Amino acid sequence: MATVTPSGTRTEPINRRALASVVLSWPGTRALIAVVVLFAVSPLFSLGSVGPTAIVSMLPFAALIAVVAIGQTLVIQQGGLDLSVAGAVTLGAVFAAKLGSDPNIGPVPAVLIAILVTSLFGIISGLVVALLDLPPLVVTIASNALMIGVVQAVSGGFSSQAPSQLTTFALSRWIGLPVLAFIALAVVLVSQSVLKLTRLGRRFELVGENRRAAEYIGVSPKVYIVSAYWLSALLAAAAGVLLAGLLRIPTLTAGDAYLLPSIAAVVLGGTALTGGRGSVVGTALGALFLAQLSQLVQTFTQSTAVQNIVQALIIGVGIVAQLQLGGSTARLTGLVTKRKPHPSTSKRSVN
Amino acid sequence: MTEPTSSTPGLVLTEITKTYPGVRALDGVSVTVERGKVHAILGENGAGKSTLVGIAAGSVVPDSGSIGLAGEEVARIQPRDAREKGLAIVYQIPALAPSLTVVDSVLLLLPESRRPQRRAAAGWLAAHFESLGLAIDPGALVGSLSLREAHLIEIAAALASEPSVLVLDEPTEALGGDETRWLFARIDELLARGAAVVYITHRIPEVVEIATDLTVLRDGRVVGRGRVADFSEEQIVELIVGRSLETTFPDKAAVTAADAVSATPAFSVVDASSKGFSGVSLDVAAGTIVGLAGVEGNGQRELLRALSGKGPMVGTIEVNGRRLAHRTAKAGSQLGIAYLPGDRIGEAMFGKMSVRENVVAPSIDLAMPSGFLDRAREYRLTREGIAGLALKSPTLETPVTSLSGGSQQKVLLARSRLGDPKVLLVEDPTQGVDAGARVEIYAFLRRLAESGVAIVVLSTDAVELEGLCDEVLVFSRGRVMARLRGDEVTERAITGAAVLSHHEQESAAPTISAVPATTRRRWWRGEGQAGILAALVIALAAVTTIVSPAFLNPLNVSQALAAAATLVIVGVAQLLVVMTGGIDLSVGSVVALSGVIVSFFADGDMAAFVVGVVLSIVAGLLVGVVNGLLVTRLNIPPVIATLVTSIAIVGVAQVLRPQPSTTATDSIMTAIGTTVGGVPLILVVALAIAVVAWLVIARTRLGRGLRAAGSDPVKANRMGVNVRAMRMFATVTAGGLSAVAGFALYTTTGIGDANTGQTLTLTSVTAIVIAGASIFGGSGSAIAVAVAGLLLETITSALTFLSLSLSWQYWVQGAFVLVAAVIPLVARRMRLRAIALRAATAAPGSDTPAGPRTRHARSSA
Repeated sequence: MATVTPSGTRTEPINRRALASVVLSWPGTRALIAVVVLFAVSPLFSLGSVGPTAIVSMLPFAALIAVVAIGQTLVIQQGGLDLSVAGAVTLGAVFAAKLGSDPNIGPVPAVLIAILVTSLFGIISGLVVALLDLPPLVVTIASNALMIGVVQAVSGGFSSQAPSQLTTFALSRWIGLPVLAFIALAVVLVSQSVLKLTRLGRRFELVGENRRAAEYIGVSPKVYIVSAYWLSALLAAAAGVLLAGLLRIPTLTAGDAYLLPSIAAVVLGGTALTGGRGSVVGTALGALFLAQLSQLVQTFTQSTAVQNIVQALIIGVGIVAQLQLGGSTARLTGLVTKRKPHPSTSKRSVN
Repeated sequence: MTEPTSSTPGLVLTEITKTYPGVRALDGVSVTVERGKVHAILGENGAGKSTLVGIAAGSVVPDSGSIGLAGEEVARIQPRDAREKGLAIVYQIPALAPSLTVVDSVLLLLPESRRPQRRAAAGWLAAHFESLGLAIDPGALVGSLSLREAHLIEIAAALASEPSVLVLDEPTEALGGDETRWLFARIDELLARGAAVVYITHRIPEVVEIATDLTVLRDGRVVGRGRVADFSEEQIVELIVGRSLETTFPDKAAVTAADAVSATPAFSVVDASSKGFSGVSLDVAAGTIVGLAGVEGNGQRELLRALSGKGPMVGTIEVNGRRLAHRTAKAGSQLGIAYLPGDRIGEAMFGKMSVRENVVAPSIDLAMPSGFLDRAREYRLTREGIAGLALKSPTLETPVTSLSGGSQQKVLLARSRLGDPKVLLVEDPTQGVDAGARVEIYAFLRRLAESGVAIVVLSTDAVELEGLCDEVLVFSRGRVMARLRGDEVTERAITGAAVLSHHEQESAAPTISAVPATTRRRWWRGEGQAGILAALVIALAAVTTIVSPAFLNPLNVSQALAAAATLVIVGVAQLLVVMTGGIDLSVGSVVALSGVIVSFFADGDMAAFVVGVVLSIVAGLLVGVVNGLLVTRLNIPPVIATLVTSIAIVGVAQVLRPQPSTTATDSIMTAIGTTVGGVPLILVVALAIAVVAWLVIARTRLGRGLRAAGSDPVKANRMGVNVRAMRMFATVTAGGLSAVAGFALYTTTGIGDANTGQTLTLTSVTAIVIAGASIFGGSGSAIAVAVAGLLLETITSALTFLSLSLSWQYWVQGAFVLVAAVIPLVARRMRLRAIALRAATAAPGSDTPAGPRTRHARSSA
């Protein structure tokens, strides 16, 4: 050794910052703040919007958005985007209603068919994306068309009534709260734990963050990519089944209303659209935000059209805010505390 | 060299500062480039040379400082303005958008005053190439050229613009000896005319040969400047490296040559061959460092990558006598081979993840033996990894992207050390690393070797190889041309062997290989697809007619043609957006909105109706403006931006018309349903739109800009294309066209319904995909899109006659999209293979395709 030995005086990096600042840096934290603020201002617009009745009627929809959006989170983490969740929700709903009301099949097999058969389309999307490297956008637009085709074939163009057992279950409550909320909670807890606390989840995040780097360190990316699309279709189909129960007679376009919210919940929850690290809890909070927002808008107008406009506008603002703040808490704190601006204007990808 | 008679300098950069996250790339750098002289800018990798000339050319925006060009001083400059003011630049990696043809690229690069007419351009360019002694087909696609050919084209374009300032960034890296001499002759001609030349190079002899002045950068600061004649070559090297070589590099391995021969090698490669290299054998003893050198593109990079285990390769790789059985990166790492790619951001780091997660990434089994997170264990492992590396990071939870280049490399080194590697393959270990961290990295590598690891280092920096390596293999055309050991390992011997062998290769084949102008490839490009689709239309119509003759009755045909008009127009609208690298999911909603608006004006006279149509188009344009602003100003991904506007617009349409209206008067319906010889007028309009769009895209400067912007935004910007303006133009036009499509739909139905049109978004994407337009942007034919629209409508109307259910319409569309999307990818792979084959057989080994790598460059810029 010639000259260089590490200088002992230099301060080694510490493990992590203080707990408060760690919590602040979580992507879900901003979503939580948004939810709290929304619930806090809700009574100003309409006193009834935070009452027990309103909350109980809002929660099932929040739960459905959350379930679909968690699947969307997984796909977005893998650098993709799943535009076929609309078709998957509808297909799940139509399968459950049509087959479930068929006395030869019965509700339980119908639900299983609805979830598993629909999830096969997710596997197809995933395989095409992972093996052929086609853009996810085009692939999921195509698989959405394939699923809508099946919707038409199964339904024959007409809505049918969901089996009464399914409706009873979807509307039932547990300790005073809708059972759907507990289902969503379970999905959130399981997926967040797997992602953040297990080897499997760490590898999933590594592949999502940088597929090629993961490959070089010996992690095969394809299986993780395929499973993301598979889980997305599976969760969307499950949400569709529950939606069929909730609506009693699901329409043939029932899933369309879940596409934008599923993406918006992911963005509001702080998962970057460029993929990689994600926060399932953030996504769920994003879903809660969207459902409460829609509830609030409903107290002003019964027109779905106006509700759509207002929601799109607010979602748009929310997405812009979340994206402009970037992933950094520095920019968030920078909004409150005046400090010297960073000299570099980080050059964003033009895309 | 002629002394300049007088006058202002050609280029003055004053107090330029530029910071990237984690790195101060330039810090108060000033350079004055005199006319009639070559000014060399020197420095190690990452010293800031390319950033500096990027700022002069307008492709990089400085934080502060000023740029003086053509007698004017400005704080920042647009690439286009720089070119108009007489600055021509040749980038290290050619900045040519891959989906353009050679002639399109050159036309974009030339300043206004030098640009020939489009019609005459191909001939003019062929003549210009000939006068320069190049045989390159002006009609070839840039993406199908080799890196070297692309480089020559950029040089030729720069010369054609008769610049007053010429910037050359490592121009001779990809060139052979004759070409280098040719280039120097051209430089002399320019100097005689009073031009100023900025010359960036690694090669000191070239500096001595042609440069008058020099400026040396280190870590973004000027550390030396003056007249070349006042320095010896050794002094120049010392200025670049920043200290004497003895203090920079650790002592080499103590093993004598005799020991090295007798010891069994830890890492042994026998007769390795693959794309880019052949018949390479090498042995690395534990405790030694072997370097790979050579002119860029001679197979050394491909070899290093193949040694990691990834990709196909012939030959054997053994680690301590155990043979690598499977060709996967996983098998390689199981044998104890660790590979650190040179492209840190793209291939090595998990950018948004923490130092801890990056360090333990390959050792997850070690970090989570039970399969579950154990944070304390991960911290312990991370500290083991970074021990002695003097990593500068506030915490172990800091995302690695926010660290400096040197710290990032240290994180990666820590990672590779953890897994107890037997062999470490490192590519460009000090690329973008500041001088201080370099020393620490060299020391670390040597310590790692001493602990018993066999290390292979690839570097473009011969000084680094001299200081670090016990043995250096010099590559040329995929083969080892020289093996330097012990005292033979000197910078001079390494570059000498590399350049010499390269020149010998070149003189054997001095003429620059022409790109074979196969008509077949051009036929495939765009319009060929239209022919195939037209054939499908005819075949499908024929089959349907045989099954059900009623298909061809005039009423049905006329209805189908009118309906096709809508599809053609939305297809063209979508094409424009996708061509610039975006996507528009609001197409269908705008169609619905436009139909609704028109319906309010359909129950009166014609004049009112026309007002309604105009209003609907204005509305469409407005939606386009909103989409464009969201995408270009607020940087929202196009999918999300247009999805949001789409839903808002449907809402507006529903508010306007909660129920479908059928209020159109008969006279208006008759007027808008006019047919010309059985063909609906609206289809004629639609086809006219497609033809105009095709002409604009293929033949005009605007079209070249649109294609370049979508093909590769970073390169397009360097070429002087205003990428934002192109995207804005595309979305606004698409909005207007979608509104016209809404009108077209209205002519067939007469119903203003807010809920129609949604499926047209899917159809528009289907149309462009099956028309063979690139989904990634950059290419596509509006004519093919029009025929695709006709095909889709034929399918829809044929289904009823074939007594197939509505399901089939979706299935056919879905399947079509998938199949049509796969075809161009397969074609591209075949094309790449053809290039590789050509490179292997004809031209020197430096041929790597210029096109495919650009997609990844986009985000890292």
